[in-house]
Amino acid sequence: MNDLQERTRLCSVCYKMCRDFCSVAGATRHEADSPNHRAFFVEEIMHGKDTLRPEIVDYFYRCSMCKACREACESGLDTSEIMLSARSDLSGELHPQRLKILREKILTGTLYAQDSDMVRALMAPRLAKPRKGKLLYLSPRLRSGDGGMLKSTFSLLERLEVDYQVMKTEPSTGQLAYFLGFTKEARQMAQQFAQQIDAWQPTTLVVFSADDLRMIKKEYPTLGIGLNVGTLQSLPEFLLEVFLAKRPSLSQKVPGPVTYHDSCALGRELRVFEAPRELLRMVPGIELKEMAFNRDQAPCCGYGMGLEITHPEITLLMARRLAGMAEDTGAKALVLGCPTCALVLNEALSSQERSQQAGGGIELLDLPSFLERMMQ
Amino acid sequence: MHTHLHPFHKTIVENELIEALGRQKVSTSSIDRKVYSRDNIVAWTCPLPDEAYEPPLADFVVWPETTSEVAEVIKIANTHRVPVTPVCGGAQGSGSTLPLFGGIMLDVKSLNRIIRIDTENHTVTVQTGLICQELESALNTLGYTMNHLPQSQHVSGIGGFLSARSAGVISTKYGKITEMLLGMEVVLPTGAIIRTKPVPNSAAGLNFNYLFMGAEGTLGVITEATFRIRPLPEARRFQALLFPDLPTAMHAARRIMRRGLWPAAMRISDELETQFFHHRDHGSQMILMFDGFEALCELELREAMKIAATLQADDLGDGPAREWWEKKRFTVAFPTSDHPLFGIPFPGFVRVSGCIDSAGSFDYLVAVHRRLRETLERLNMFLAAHFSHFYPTGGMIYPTFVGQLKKGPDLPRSYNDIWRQGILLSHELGGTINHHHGIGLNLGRFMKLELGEAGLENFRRIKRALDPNHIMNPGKLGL
Repeated sequence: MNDLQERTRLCSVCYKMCRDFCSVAGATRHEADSPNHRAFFVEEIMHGKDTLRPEIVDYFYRCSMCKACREACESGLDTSEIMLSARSDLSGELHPQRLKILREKILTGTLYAQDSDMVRALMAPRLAKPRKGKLLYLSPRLRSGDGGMLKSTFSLLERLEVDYQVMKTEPSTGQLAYFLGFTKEARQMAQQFAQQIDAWQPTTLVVFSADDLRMIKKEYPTLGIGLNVGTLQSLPEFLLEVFLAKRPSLSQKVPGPVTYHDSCALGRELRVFEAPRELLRMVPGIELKEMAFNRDQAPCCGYGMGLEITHPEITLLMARRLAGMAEDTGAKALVLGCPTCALVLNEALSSQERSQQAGGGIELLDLPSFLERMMQ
Repeated sequence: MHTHLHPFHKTIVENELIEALGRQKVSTSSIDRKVYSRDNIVAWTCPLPDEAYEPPLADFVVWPETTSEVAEVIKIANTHRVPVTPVCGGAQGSGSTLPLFGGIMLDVKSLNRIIRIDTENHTVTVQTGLICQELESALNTLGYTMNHLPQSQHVSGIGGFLSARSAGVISTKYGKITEMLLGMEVVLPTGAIIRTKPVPNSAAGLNFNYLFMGAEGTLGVITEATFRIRPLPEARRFQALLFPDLPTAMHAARRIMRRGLWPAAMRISDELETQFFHHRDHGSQMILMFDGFEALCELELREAMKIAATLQADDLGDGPAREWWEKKRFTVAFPTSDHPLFGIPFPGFVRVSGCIDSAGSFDYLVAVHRRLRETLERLNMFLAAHFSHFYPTGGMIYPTFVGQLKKGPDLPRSYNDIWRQGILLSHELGGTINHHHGIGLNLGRFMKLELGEAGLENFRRIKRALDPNHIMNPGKLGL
């Protein structure tokens, strides 16, 4: 029995001690979403007691790959690893039609909308020929948004006279393809990404989305992909470095307590917990409240490495749960260190829904937007 | 009660459930149904899910979010004479939440609102689908706690606690869930709803709380409950002691309780558990934890140490006790390849385990431990035990057996025989047949021992009166 098979067996016989931490099970409240049951169905298939019927294939895509189960498990068992293996082993004809369509869109770069007019207008004056320096990688997902976060970030950096570069077109890191189980395609996309980044030879590559950075740091080595960059930084780490160097005046009044969400990629995977908190604490008089599940116990926002596309109804439940947890702290604003989390939450929770929450709802702010507001 | 629904009838019931709850809260998917056929009794450590035995499957799974939705489900079940099996965290090990006769699996985990935390009057009112840690986290942020902290706190839920009369690891000081409950709301098997007042105490006739607590869903579904809460303790003090043997450690426990000390946790490991779990080569280890305001903790610890000194205890410092509280009390539940509960069995064998917990006087605890060890060893089972959940008059024994049984047609009988001998022994020596894990399916046949013939018959009369169509959790509790 190989190691992964044994880990699957152990996970399936466990007393489900991780269920309370599972981002999906905690939101759906469905027993089937408990990680140990996912492992159980893999066991059933391995022992010939069940088959890869459509219902089970769909079930394997209900995992958000957030690795909260691994953190909760004292034995270090990681159900997402079992799910990723199951997804990767699926042959194409077993994929449901919507997954086949999704795969096609990922490969052709048509999954997300092209840059909006706002984003194009923001990017245009900032484009330049490749040169050594700080390169900001925004990602197609972020560029498909309304541009609000990008505007705040550029404004922040330019007020602080930070030199940086952006790319006219950005390749995908392949993270979505990889975590959906399209390993071969993900490797090809990763190779293309590496080639394009290498052409810039950046001294620092700032990767805005923590999921992209997770892909580069954690998965590229297993795919045999290397990047020719000096330093890889997350957005909070980059901003902290800038703020420590420039010491801007953050003199605006904070409108009440603030809480912070640790994204699963930034927190659990990349272990970046303190940089965003250190930035927030630079605001004089700020009252920072921690959510009940924080740091490496923080739940996924709902992006779930593709879950928002395969199971948007689950993403909505996860987003609601996270917003509810933030509200329970008494905070007036929830700051999100990963821009993807901010996009997902803002898109999942309509403004009407948020205003109907107790106390008028909690404001959702990505980190750059919050800091820029504090500088005004 | 129908045990096998005609497909046409099944469709009608499904439609009514969807009309009552909405499509999103009703499922007939095989995945949803199959996961409820597993509880801690039917993980791969138990012979019941062996290849020859098909798991019991519900026909429907529902996730109501309000008391009225629960009532609607039960009314539908009554109309169609369909069994209903309530489940919360599903952390029980006695098969109480297995849908033996199919029907509706009623998962209360979507009843997960905290309705009110009253820090002035020290109460919390919640829906019963909350998982323990969810409630505890919310209370902790306000500086409060419910002090009900079982090892399964990340898995088990409020509804399950009440249904099985559970105990947490600090019940010696704070009581079982039964002592924490003030009032509750219950949906009866007819769909009617009753509420008991959340008052500190009363003399107004029967205490209905005690009718439904421990009924394991056979008399209705508890949907809401009010508990007392307390501020988080100002201080905690830890101490570990090593006594020469178990009887001496037990004597120390007796004297500690007699002295009027109230340790939050007092936990004695027998010699085998001391050896294998605490890695000591002799003796019986005791863990103590005192909590409260600082001076009280210091005083109680000092008095306990005086008692320990007269009984030749080695002072192990605070480390082992602190480690147990902060981490180790969960560790045993996590699987590893060499774990006695989770390792791969020999070819042709099935790994079995169980906890034949019971409670009784101090004298009982020592006697039952010795006799259980002898009995289980004759059956080729390894048995290690600890003692916790103490009272002024005695305590609880937590004896876990582990072993392997040969696969084959005699397997269930062999497994049941282990339980039968253990339970008969507990009863014969004067203990209860279960302290806090519940009766469920596994121990239902021993309820006549516990209640006596007249007691069980009258329990059945109550069941018939409240649940004339026998739809609520059939096959459990010996009813």
